[in-house]
Amino acid sequence: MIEQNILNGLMSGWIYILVALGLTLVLSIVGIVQLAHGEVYMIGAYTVYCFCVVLGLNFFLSLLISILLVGLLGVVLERFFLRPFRDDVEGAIVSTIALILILQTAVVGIAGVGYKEIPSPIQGVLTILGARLSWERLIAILASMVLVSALLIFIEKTRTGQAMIAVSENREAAALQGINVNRVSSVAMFMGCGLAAAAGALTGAIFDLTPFMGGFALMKGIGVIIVGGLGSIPGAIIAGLILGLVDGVVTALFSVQVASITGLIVIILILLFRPQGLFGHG
Amino acid sequence: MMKRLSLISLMVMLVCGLTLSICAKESSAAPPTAETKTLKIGVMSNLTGPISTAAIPHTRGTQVAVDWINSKGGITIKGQKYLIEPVIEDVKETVDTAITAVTKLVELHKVKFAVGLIGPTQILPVTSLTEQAKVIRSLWHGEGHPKELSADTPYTFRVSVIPRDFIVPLLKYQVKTYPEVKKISMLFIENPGAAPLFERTKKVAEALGLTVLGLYVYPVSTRDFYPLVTKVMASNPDAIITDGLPHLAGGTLKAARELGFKGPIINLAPTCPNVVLKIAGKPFADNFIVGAPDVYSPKMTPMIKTVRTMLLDKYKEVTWDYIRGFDPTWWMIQAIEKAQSLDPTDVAKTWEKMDRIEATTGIGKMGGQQSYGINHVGVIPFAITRMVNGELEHVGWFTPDIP
Amino acid sequence: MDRRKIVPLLSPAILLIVLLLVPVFISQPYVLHVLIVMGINITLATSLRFIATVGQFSLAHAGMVSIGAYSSALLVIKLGLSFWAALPLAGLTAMSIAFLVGSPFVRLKGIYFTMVTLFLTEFITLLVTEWRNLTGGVQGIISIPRPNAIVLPGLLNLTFASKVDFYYLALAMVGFTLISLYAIESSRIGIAFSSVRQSEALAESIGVNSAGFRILAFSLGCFFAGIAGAFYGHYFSAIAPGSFGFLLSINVFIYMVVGGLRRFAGPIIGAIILTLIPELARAFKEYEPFVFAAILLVVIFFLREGLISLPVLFRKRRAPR
Repeated sequence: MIEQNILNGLMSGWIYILVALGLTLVLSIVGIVQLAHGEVYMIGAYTVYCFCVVLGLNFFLSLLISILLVGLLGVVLERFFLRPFRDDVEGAIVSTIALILILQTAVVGIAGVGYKEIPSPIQGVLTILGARLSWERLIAILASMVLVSALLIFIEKTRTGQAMIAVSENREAAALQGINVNRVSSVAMFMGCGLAAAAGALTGAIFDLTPFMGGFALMKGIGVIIVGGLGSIPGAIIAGLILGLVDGVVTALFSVQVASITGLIVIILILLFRPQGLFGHG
Repeated sequence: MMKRLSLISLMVMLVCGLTLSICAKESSAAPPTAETKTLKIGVMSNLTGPISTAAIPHTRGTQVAVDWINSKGGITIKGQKYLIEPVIEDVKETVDTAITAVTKLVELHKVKFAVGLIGPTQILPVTSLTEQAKVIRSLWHGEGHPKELSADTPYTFRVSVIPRDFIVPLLKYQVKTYPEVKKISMLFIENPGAAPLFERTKKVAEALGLTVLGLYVYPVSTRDFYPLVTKVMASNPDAIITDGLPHLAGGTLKAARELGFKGPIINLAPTCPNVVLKIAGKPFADNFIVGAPDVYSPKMTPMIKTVRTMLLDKYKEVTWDYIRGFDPTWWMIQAIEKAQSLDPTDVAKTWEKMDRIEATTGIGKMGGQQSYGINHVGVIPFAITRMVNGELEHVGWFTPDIP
Repeated sequence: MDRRKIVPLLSPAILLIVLLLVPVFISQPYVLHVLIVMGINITLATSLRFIATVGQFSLAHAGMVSIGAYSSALLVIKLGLSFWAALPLAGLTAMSIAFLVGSPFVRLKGIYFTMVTLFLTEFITLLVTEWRNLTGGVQGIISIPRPNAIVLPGLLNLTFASKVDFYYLALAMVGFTLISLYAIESSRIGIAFSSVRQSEALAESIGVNSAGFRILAFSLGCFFAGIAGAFYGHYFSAIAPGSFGFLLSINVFIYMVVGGLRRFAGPIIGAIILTLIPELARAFKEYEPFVFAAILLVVIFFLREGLISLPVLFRKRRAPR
């Protein structure tokens, strides 16, 4: 049973990582409190639903299309709703709350409130080291790992990736070095929203879709970023796994509620004693 | 500071003016024609927020019920014809927003009859408003709290829709169909009704010779059921009893089957099996029993088929949640017509004595005197549907146990 | 006196008379209800801004309202206290918890402080939900009694059986909150708050105990949130943990920002307008959020300083170049 619990925790963890990574890109590079990140995640799921279920395309193709389309949507959102409020926390909060309302209500109007399902591309259940998981969960873990690796490679190996690091550390200094901060922001937003869309679609294939599925993702994403450290990718990975394992193992040992409280306590303790997070800059 | 205060005073007066103008606007209702008048029915619905997933289908069922009744000429009270006019207000998500919406319905729109409300924590607080104003309320949902429906709520009525109503027939069916099941565990939503439901189910189960292993409670926001189901399976139950919403029941079913649980899963709440099937997915939709009909089955009653067609025409989709919105309104209208009065006290007295009321699922009657202290629960037939190998099987029509 | 001096002095008096006479002219309970809810929101928005004057944004207000509501309800129901004793005690409970919790949190700056207050609200909600024996769990507490009647023969007969009495109580609560907060802000404490907000390092250098003032602002602001919570409980007569979550904190925050952070009167206007908008937009049914969102965007894009800055804009336009 303990293998099942650990595997459960790892599964949850990888989804949290995916959401948190997208959010950390937006927060640290674009510099905005993007409260509507959960809604971007939700739209990613509905986009895959549209292409895969309604139009009948292959799941992975739909996933790719969703990442691209939602990434582009993100770029548009950043330009018009977020950039004016860079370094303006109150303004960003009001603007992104308005975005949440608009995106949620728009999806309710277009797709309705009913539960939607994205069927898994591969049906069936696997057994790994004595624990069971469905194919869609395994696909979610693998896809997350692939996307995270792609992100890491992009950051390390490309000039834009390096520029993104510079901007996340100090925007003014980066601008002084000749980096086009707005362009880098757009790229970061594209990638952050693409990751969120992927997370939404993968989660949608495991569970179900509703216009209100975003709130959960946002809270988990923020929690992971706080524990791992803003702007830190290794931090997001470790923190995602920690919080995922808490949800998986503590639930099975005690209850869902105890797991929630434990997660909250971890977050609050980190904020109190190491506010920059486990891997964050000082 | 003074100038600012004068600004504020100007705005306050503007506010008063605005509110007065909403007042004036709302009060001027459509002038009745010489031949037909309108009867306003309040619809308390959660139109926004996560609960809207369940409440909007109910609202649509209500709308279709009103359309259907109006298409037949409305109702006639003492020779005067009335067309029904639904007045829908959004109760949103919290206690205060529910009270705001119902205050508007009761005090501004002055409705005397109302249906609605799904939000579990909103149902009770609204009760004092409607009871005090003597507004008849036909509930869409209940939690089973003793104050929800009792001798102290003479104007509140409910059709049989809460898990409590289905325990006895469902468990009896389980014992008959799965005689090998001896140990059961319960997995309930963390709602006000969870603890009393557990107690009641435990009593019935033990009387039927079953052993109850335990109760597991989860927040309604749960999506990933692997950790919880893993925990439930650890004590090796033969069957799992659940309650509640389609995505939760579906999620539980899917997780349980994926994790290797083979025993039956029985859902006490009248959750739409079509939606549960969709969410769990065909490969895992097996051995799931629920007290709600497969709305597409050819074995449905003529009335369900009629309502189904109307809903599909209007909204292009239909689930049991939609049709569930039909009966509370239809019953209330039948009671009003039988009482031949628009006075809620008269209607209430007539309604609680009705022993023949038409429902989508068949003929029902009022009951609940013994269990609730008041004869205000509509005892209507319900369907048991069984999922076998990804297909839905309509087992039959049963009567809820509401003494 | 010339006209320019009379008008400003007359305005507050007229304002008070108008407000006191509202129930005489408006008897529709729904309208009174909306005005009462507005009163709660004004109390919350101004006390949130009070915390912001020291430079910190709190999302803990919903948690404090929750503490105030549950404290008052439990004191009255379980210990049999009078509402009039429970109300200030509820405020004090919220204030004490804010003080206890705020002290370790005070070294957090900016967005980190805001984050910790957000999770504090979540924690309070979870605690209230799970401590079933005390709080009634998810269902919460119902049938919270009305405030005890105030009877002064010949003068007052407030039984709180009708909305009119609650309107006056709300008015009193708002009046007390506004006067107290304005007085503190106009005092030397307010100046200290302002200095801490503008530059904490500089303030420290001239001997201002910035941590102390931040805790003070947070605790006092939460006191009024607790009072509002107690009022909420006894007015709606039912409370549940779900009513006091992230949504409430964010709404109060939005009232404050949309009304205008920089001016004392800003949150008042924000609370008034943003309480009215959802009521006026009910006709839009499930699309009402679009209307609310539109208002938010219009204000935040074109009136960044908030609605309170509208007259300044007009004055600027009218002033000769």
